[in-house]
Amino acid sequence: MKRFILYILLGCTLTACEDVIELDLDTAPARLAIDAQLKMNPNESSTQVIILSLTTGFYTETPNMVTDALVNIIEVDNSTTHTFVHDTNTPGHYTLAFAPNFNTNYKLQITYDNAVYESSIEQLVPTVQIDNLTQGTETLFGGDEIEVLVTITDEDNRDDFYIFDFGYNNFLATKDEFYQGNAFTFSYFFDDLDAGDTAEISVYGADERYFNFMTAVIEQTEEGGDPFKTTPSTVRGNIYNTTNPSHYPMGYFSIGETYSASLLLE
Amino acid sequence: MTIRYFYLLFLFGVFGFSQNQYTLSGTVYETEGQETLIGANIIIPELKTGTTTNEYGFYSITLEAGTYEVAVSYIGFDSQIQTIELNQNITQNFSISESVDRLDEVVLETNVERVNIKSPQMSVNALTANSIKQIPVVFGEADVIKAITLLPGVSNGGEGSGGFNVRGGSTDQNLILLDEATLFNSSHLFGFFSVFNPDAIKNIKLYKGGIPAKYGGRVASVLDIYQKEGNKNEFHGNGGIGLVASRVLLEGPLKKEKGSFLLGGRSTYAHLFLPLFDIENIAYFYDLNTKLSYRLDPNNKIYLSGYFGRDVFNVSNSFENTYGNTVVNFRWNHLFSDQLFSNLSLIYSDYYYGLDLNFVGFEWNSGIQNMNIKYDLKHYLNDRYSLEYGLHSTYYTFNPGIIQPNGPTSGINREELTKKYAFENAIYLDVKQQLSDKLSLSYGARLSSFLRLGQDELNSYTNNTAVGFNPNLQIYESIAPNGSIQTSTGSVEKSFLNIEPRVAASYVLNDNSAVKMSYNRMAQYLHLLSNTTAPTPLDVWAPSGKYIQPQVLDQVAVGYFKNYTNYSFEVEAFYKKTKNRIDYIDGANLIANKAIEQVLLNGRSRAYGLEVLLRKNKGRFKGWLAYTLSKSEQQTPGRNASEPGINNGNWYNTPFDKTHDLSITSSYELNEKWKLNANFLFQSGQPTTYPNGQYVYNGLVIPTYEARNSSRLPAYHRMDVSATFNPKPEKNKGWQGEWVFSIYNLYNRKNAQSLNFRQNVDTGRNEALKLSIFGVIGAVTYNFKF
Repeated sequence: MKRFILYILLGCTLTACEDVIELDLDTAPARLAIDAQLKMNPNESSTQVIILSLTTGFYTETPNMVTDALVNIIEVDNSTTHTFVHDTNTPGHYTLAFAPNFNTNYKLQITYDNAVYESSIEQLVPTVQIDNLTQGTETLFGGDEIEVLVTITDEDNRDDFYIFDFGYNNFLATKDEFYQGNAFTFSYFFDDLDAGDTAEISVYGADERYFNFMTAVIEQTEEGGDPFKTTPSTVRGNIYNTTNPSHYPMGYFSIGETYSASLLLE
Repeated sequence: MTIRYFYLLFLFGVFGFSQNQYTLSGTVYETEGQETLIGANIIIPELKTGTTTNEYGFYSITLEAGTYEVAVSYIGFDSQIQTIELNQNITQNFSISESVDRLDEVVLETNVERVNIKSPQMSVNALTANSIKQIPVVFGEADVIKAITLLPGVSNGGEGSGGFNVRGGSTDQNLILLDEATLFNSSHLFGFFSVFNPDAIKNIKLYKGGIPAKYGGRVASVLDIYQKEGNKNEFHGNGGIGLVASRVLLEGPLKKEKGSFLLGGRSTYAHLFLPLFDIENIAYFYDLNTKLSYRLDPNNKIYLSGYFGRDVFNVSNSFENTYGNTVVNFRWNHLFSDQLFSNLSLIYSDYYYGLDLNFVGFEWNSGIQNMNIKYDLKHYLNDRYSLEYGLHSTYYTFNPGIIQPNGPTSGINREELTKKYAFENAIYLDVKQQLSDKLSLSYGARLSSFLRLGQDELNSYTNNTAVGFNPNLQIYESIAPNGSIQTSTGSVEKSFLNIEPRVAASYVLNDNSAVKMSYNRMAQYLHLLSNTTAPTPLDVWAPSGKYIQPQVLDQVAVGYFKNYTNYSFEVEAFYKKTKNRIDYIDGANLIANKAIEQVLLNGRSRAYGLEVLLRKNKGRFKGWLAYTLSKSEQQTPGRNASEPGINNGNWYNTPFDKTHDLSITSSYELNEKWKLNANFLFQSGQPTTYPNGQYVYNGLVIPTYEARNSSRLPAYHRMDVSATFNPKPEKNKGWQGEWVFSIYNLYNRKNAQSLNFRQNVDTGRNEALKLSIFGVIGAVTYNFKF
């Protein structure tokens, strides 16, 4: 919230200018990066994708995908192993038809380059449906953004964390701390879409640690200048290297319920 | 220095009295408006001794009976010499007039006379309102904070960041006093302007080290600002019309020579400030300064002063933001005798931050209020010996935030974060003693205590630990409380007590040079919770308590001071270290955080450096060159061997570590009508953290980062010039006007305020983006007085 506010204030106070500059950067030794956001949508098929790559130099344009890893999800309580299969058509993608259950302990285990990586134990996190999407008329700076009002009804008696995905890599992480148990409406301003386009919005259930992770990476990938930035640091996820702890991996393993909704913009 | 030695000195001084002594005391005024003068020199050349007036213009000096020439002087004023026959206690007020040629101002008040060379006070810079007004600044708006950043040892986070940093300290470590009242925020519009209206200010003084025991509660510096009292003879006004802001100040007598009023206002033009956007967006600030002064009788004066300032933002009605300071202050000067001056201050001060976010149906406000009593006494025992002692007491109420729905359809629940209460008390004694013609000392101590009072809900944790370390993931995580307790706001939940010794010495080498040294310890019980590189108005203050320890600083400084006929030269070296500097776990959210202790780690900081100040004080060409070489670092080690702390427990640069900081300020009086000013700044780039890799997660291109603050932005430098044109310099009655033409950032240097990294939406490539705020900016201001 805070960051958003500051961003707005700056937008309206600065006669600032931004220039792309040439800046040499060091490159740290490559680490394994794990993109393992498993989704459980009761209305959709359950083919899950885990993507593995190596970190690259900041300006490197071609990703360095990992194609020879062993990827398992283990049901901790009964040691059942679900092995993901590498999809040679899309290097680095490991897939499996897998429907997670509530109240079950899972962990991700990856063997790569003679090291074993394991995640913390995770469970399927529930979320709520998107009740309603309506188009609004407000704009933020009198620009040409399109306002969409999103309404959800928060579940009482539990602490919810929501990751909204608005497409085009725009995410919003929010928690129900201040709207516990209420119907809650907020505005999202699309600037990538025009009348005639369809806004696709989804919500994903997260636990507190994943909410913190997403909050941090969203902040670090926000566009534009921000003098009020917090000092950035590498965001650690929930996966560690059991063989060589200092060579830790990036990324996160999460399992969440998800719902989506769409709205044709006028 | 041991306590025993301290007492010995004290007693020695007291018994050193002679019986045949009388006291000369009074107040020094400027003739025209009977404004009291702060820091005017009263010198007895024959005895090579003297004194200076205090913050209320009062002086007192006790001498052997005899007939003396007394010289009264003040920078920019004609000196006055009067013969006084001291065969009884004498009250003598002086009125001195501003020099006609006005070759003054751009000079600091210290070291002007030999008596100041002798003063053990070091690491202090003073500026008059006039000198501040002459320094060219962006949009032509004279600015106190921008002016002090030209002094050695003072920097700020660049354009668009509030506050200032003194000797590698953070902005919340500065004690900012306006007529003795504490201000919690010194900036308007995110630091583009400071909150002080230069027209209402008489005098500012910045203590960077050797801080007297009278001051406490912040560890890095004291910025002590006194407002004018107002003209006691006749009604006058002055003001200015500028590109983005205008100001007006009215002053006059309530009762001739006895009482006066002062009323000042300043505001930016709401819509003009946002030319790029439509008029639905509003951003402006305003502030009001008021002061009433009244002399009841020669021994009693009362003052009532107030400050009210607000910043207002409104974006398309979807977002509204208001914040600012309010200060009300009543003071009573009382002379118990011609040797014992006292001031009682009753102060209310409040900082408010309010926010209304229409698009999430959300209202928020937070703030800090305090009520403060100060009783300060100054005892002028004789010409070699004086005492300052007093009592300060402050009651704080902290509102970390109230959230409420902004309308009936909002889904937000009302929630009030637990208010916090605290009581800060201090007593102090400072002794100034001239041991010999060459050696002067100042020594004393402040005994401060902080009582954290009970509150509605205070979390408790297993083993009192609110932050845990996850050894597998190597990250710090919040721990949920195991319960909470409710305590009465009358009970003391946690108390702290600190003895803060202050020592300073000056050894005069000859008539024009001296060496000085000082040591001070300071305790700070309030912490500004901020994990951004520059402070923001949203930042919330938190008191020390069960989970936050007070910051304690130790600083030593040594210096060499030399006066030449037209020049002065100062060099100082300092070293300071602070313990209990708080740091934050990665990803900590500080706003509306109900349990701030769950994201805090305890660290320390240190800074050291060398400052050089060379000034030309007289003549048509005046100015100064200030250079600082310094280092400022911070460390947050792990709490035990298995934890890495922040940045692997290594020392890292603070965001305000500026290795080199050079500033040149100059003014040249071309003729009676034209005066030219220029300044130049060069600062090492601000420490920052660059990416050293990237990966894709969930479609986002996420950088990995190098060690904290291990790189630097490009160096910051710029030059500003201004010219002041006074069409009728001979006119000194009625309406008088002058034009100030200024150019900020003359050679259009695009200084980096920050470097940001992003993925280019069109090319998909990562790129580095430099944000620079002000290019070259010209401005015209018309100043008037009548």
